[in-house]
Amino acid sequence: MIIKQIKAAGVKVFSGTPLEVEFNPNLNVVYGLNRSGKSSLIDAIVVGLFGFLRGSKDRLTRDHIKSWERSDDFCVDLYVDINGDKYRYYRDFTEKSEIVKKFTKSKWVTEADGNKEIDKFNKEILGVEDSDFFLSTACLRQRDIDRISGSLKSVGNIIQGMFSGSGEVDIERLIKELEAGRKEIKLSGRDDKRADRRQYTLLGENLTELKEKLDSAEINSEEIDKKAGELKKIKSELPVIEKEYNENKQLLEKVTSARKIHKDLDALKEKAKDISKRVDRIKELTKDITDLKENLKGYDQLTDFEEEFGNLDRLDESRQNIEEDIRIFKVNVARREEELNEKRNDIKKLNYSFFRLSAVSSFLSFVIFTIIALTTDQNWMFIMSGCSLIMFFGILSVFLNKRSRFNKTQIEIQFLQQELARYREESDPETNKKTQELSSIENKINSILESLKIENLDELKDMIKSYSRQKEQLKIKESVLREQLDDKDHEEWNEIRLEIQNDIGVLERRLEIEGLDEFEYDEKKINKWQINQSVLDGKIEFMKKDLKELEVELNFLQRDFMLPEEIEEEIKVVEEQIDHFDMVYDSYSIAIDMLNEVRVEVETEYKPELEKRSKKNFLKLTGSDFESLSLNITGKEGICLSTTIFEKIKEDTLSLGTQEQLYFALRLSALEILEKSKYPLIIDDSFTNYDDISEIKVLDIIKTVSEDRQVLFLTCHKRFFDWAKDISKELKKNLSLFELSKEHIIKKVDQ
Amino acid sequence: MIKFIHTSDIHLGAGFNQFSDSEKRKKEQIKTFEKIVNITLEKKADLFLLSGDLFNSISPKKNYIELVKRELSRLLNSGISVFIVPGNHDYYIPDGLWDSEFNLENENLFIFKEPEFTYKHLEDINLSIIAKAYDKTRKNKRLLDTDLIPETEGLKIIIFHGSYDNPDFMEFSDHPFSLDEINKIDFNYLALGHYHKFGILLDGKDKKAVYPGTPEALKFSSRESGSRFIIYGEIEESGKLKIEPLEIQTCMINSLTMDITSYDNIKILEKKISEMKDENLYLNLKLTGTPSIDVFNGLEQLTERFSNNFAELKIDITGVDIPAGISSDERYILGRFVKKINDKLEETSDDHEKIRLKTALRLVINKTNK
Repeated sequence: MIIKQIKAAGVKVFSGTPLEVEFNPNLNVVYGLNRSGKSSLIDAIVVGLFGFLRGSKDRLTRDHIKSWERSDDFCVDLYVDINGDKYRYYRDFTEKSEIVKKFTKSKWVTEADGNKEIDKFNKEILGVEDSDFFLSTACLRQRDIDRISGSLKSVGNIIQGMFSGSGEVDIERLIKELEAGRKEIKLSGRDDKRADRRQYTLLGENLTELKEKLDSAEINSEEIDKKAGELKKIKSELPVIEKEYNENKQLLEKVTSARKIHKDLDALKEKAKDISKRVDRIKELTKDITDLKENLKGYDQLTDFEEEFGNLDRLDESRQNIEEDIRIFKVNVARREEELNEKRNDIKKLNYSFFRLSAVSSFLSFVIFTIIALTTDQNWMFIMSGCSLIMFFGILSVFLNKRSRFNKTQIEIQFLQQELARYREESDPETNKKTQELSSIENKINSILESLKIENLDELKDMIKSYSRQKEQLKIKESVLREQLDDKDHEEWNEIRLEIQNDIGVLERRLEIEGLDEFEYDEKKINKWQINQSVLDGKIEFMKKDLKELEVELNFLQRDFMLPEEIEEEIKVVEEQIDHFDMVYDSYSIAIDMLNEVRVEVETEYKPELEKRSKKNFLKLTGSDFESLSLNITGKEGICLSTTIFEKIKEDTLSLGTQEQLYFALRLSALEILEKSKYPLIIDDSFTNYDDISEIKVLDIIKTVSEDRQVLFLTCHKRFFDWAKDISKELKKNLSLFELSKEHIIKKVDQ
Repeated sequence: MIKFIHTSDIHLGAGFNQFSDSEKRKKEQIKTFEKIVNITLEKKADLFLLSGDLFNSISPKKNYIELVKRELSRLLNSGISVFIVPGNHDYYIPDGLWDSEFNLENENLFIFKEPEFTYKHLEDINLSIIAKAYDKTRKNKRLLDTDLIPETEGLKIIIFHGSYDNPDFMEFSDHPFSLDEINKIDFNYLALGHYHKFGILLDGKDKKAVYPGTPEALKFSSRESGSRFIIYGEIEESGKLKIEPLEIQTCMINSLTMDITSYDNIKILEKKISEMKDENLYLNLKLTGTPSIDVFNGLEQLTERFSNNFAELKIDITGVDIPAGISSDERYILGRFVKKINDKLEETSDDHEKIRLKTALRLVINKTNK
């Protein structure tokens, strides 16, 4: 491709004065001081070819390119030769007309209309579809050089960027970024301690939880349905059973009621009977009392003596006592007299005078015999005297005994006589008094009897007895009657009797009316009802218990219950999120894998050629060779270089100038490899750090390059411009010189 | 003339899991419910009809129960009769939610708990409300299979939670019914629930059947996108019926698919999104087509750029194709990479794989265009 001519208006600095330049197909050197418009010129060319750079914020965008000052026009008109054909890129940004025409058969024919078509056209014809690609390959700009920050690695990066297809992309970094991005999505716990905090992990946990929740919700849902069904069934059955229960209960209540009425009735009847009895009794008693009272009238006379009746008895009793006392006294006297007489008889029997005589006689005999014996001295007379003495003593003792007994009895008689006398003396007045009393009592009794005209006391006694008995009877009967009447009179009792009869009638009628009779008596039925009642009672209790349990269970099941559908929806949302993460994760993996794949391919394909050409260009540029230059187009190693000169020098200690030379060699090599049709080489002050020799060498290369490639060399250094002037004679028409004024006016310099 | 408000499928207590700020969404839902009650009061309606799924579950959280009790009390205290049918989400269980929490001693509140049709005849206006609860145990049972709709005097409103047997309406079938079937039934207004999008099934002069749809969308779905409605209706004694859908939502959900093929630069797309700016809009934007590289490169930043302009913005760019202008020049690594992706895309018919490949490409392109 050769840029023939450019016309531009409203592009960056070219606002007041439109830009219009015709370029040399070989070497063009444009000299201009800073801010004269060199970059604007390059930008105008690039925008003319490729339009604005889209998706960028600070480069080649409409805002960036549009004139900094007010300008009515905003357009670029570019004439280029591509593969021998003439093309015109015309872009009027104000009119929004962008078109590519081809000069065919002396006519400009539209080749591409509109941005998209031009992009497509560029891709086909130039093999480049946007400005970035073009810039990264065809343009050596100061800003690229600025990026070389003192390391070969940065040189390598720029070259890598060329191969990546976008001037600024480092594939290695890109892959790393993608890997980091992928890591952000999911990590295994092994990879990172923070793994558990990742959203993906949390979502996974959430999903597991939700699934568990769903399982239990499904079970709960079924359970709720089941329990609700059971509850409903019981609720519908319960009233039926309760009704039956109540009916049965009513029957049993009737039985109870009937039984009570019958009991009341029996009690009433019993009462009625009692009252009838009482009324009869009252009647009977009243009659008895009347009779008794009539009877007692016969004893009217006794009434006055009633007080005396007791006295009479007492009198009689006293009389009898007195008579007894007198009798006892007489008996005592008689007994004492008898005793005295006995003693007197005893004393008569105790006559001792005989013994006194006998004793005296015996003693006299003794004395006589003793005197005879003594006088006579006859023995037998002694015996006679002895016998007379013994006899004397025997008779003396009897005599003494009889005389003592006599004396004693004599004393006893005396005592008895005294005692009798005293007893008589003592009891006589008493006896007399009692005898007197007795006669008084007898008088009294006699007077009573006389007044009553009763002959004897026994008759009176009988009379009084009968009177008292009847009176007692009257008293008893009156008391019984009082008891029976119980503060009511006979009439009242009659009324009570009638009332009870009435009550009985009422109850009997109630039984009849309410039909309660059968309940009382049909034991079989009652029994059945009672059994039924307890069965129903149990059943109801059971059902109510079930009901309560079911209510509790249902209540429990419903607590925080979520419908499975709800959880399913939640699961769906979470799964969608997880799917999305998975998708992005997979996409990252695809991107990483494919980039790696492509990297290897590109590496294999271009590396040998790049190394070969670089070596050649570097030799040309520096006059020195390097033994090997190894460049990983896509790898992190960047450039590995070993040269005869720098063998002992670490790559990072290479001078900036050498780095720039190496960069230029590589850039040129890469351009040669990558370009589809030969691109113009646009150099924007790229050799500022070169030493004098290197400068000459690079300028030499430029000269050489311009032999078969259009070169646009823009510089702010007079020495380069001078160099161009110097070689103008040599290059003649293959060189054009331009000068850009501070006013942004470009002028072709005559050679 | 009898005035009524008909709503359904409010789903109080729904999780709103699809939304990044589900709590905000819950508050909006509560606000909408309160709004419905306010409108009912403003319109001085006689009847308030709720055709199922007032709650999202059979055991909603206490605050929702309290909310409903409070709001219903406002209606009941104003003499409005409230008719509620339990739906498939808040289905009736003996002693469950409806028995334990809404056993209110109020003669104007009717909760139809029976699985068979029962009715309430309102003497003063000569109108019967006929309804039945959603029967979970027999959900496949057709609406009219065995159910007999009781004979009633005067005007008739039927409330029912079930699916219109039409694949366009419902992909599931809970108590399904067909148009033929409901045509055979005698009613003035069939207050339907279950389908989340507003839809009029029958639109006769004196016979209408309507799904009001969910008043506040629960998720991003086509059925719940766009305006949400409740139905305001007026029935004359003659049976003549007039209905008016009232827009009710607090926030709108919209799922849009946008083909960005024709957009030359990202600014056009940004402008298009800008035009939709609405702080009350939950927008799920699915982008498709083959954009320019410029647009393609700007896609990743769109969500972040506009997220403050919407209640929530989701932009799905997985459906976007590789830009035509992207280089697949095999001389370059990236071009070769693009070529490989393109080749694989042509090879595979697996849509998921296609998305993965496109995403892989987008990841690389985005990283090279920082």
